[in-house]
Amino acid sequence: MSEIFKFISQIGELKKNGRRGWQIHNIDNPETTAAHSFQVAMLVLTIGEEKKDFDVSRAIKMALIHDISEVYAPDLTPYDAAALDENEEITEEYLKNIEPVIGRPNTNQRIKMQTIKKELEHKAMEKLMTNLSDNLKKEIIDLWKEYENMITPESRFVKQADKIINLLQGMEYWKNGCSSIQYKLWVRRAKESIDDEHLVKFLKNIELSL
Amino acid sequence: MNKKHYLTKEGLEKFKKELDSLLEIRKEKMKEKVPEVLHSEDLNPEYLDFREIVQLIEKRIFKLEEVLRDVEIVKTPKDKKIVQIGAKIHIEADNQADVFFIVDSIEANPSEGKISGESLVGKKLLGKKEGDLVSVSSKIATVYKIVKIEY
Repeated sequence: MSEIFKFISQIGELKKNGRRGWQIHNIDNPETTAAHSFQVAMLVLTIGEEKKDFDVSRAIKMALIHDISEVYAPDLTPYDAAALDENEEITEEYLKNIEPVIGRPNTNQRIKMQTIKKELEHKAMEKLMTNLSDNLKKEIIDLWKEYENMITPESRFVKQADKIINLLQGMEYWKNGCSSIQYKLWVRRAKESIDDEHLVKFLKNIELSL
Repeated sequence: MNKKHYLTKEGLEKFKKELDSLLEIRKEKMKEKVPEVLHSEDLNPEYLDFREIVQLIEKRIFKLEEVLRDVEIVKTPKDKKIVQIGAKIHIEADNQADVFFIVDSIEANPSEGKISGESLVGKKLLGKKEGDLVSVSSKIATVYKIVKIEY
């Protein structure tokens, strides 16, 4: 029980972490990682029930753990990717010194960011799971790897749900006066990234609300 | 009827690797001693855990085998001037250049530039040619210029 107590106490930090993307936009009291994960899980629960041949409970678990690595790993954003020098070797040290750029990274920058991000998040997950029993550690790491791998329908859906909730929150901030959020760019990116039929309808609702 | 999927060679390798890994895990699991079903008069939680893991593995193997049963590797099309699944396209949109790979939905990964042919943008780009201006219309419209198509 003391191992679970330590783990749950660590996870509690995510209730304090304001998501870095919102901090870059200088948003006061930005949405936390925990709040974001809650909303993703709720979207997965509600729409997941409408999907055929879909393991909703596994998808919800995935949604709950998808960002827990941020207890230790940096919350890297597309703005950090947009700042990457494509000719540089991207290391943890290099990332500490970049200034995020509010804009859209190109594919090459995204790929470079994904590589280092996965490495840092994997290290963070191992550190976070240190005290847990082998079975629990295995279950959570398996869920996280499945989410990152994007092979199963559940993982692909949760990945897209994550983007939709991010867009929804971004548009709320934009509607409330955060003019640095390039809302047209965000919507464009969502239209490139979302192909789940239910989430495409949800995306259209977001667009109509703008 | 199952949907046919068109995967790149790399995508197919990824799915096969996942299946191989699951088959190995199943083999190892079957070597383990199955916990007793009952613990005194109640169902043994260790048995329930074991059963849940085995069921999950079997379900994932089943789904992967289903996908791989009806898969085709994307081939270079005869008409290389048209966007089809498997194309690498250089685009310009909102004064910004970028590169997309148009792929089957199960291989899509926007963080790696792999755009699903079933996304709103992917659908519009399919069938278009170099030089075309493609409008993805809605309340917020974007125009993509197809600069170059490669296979």
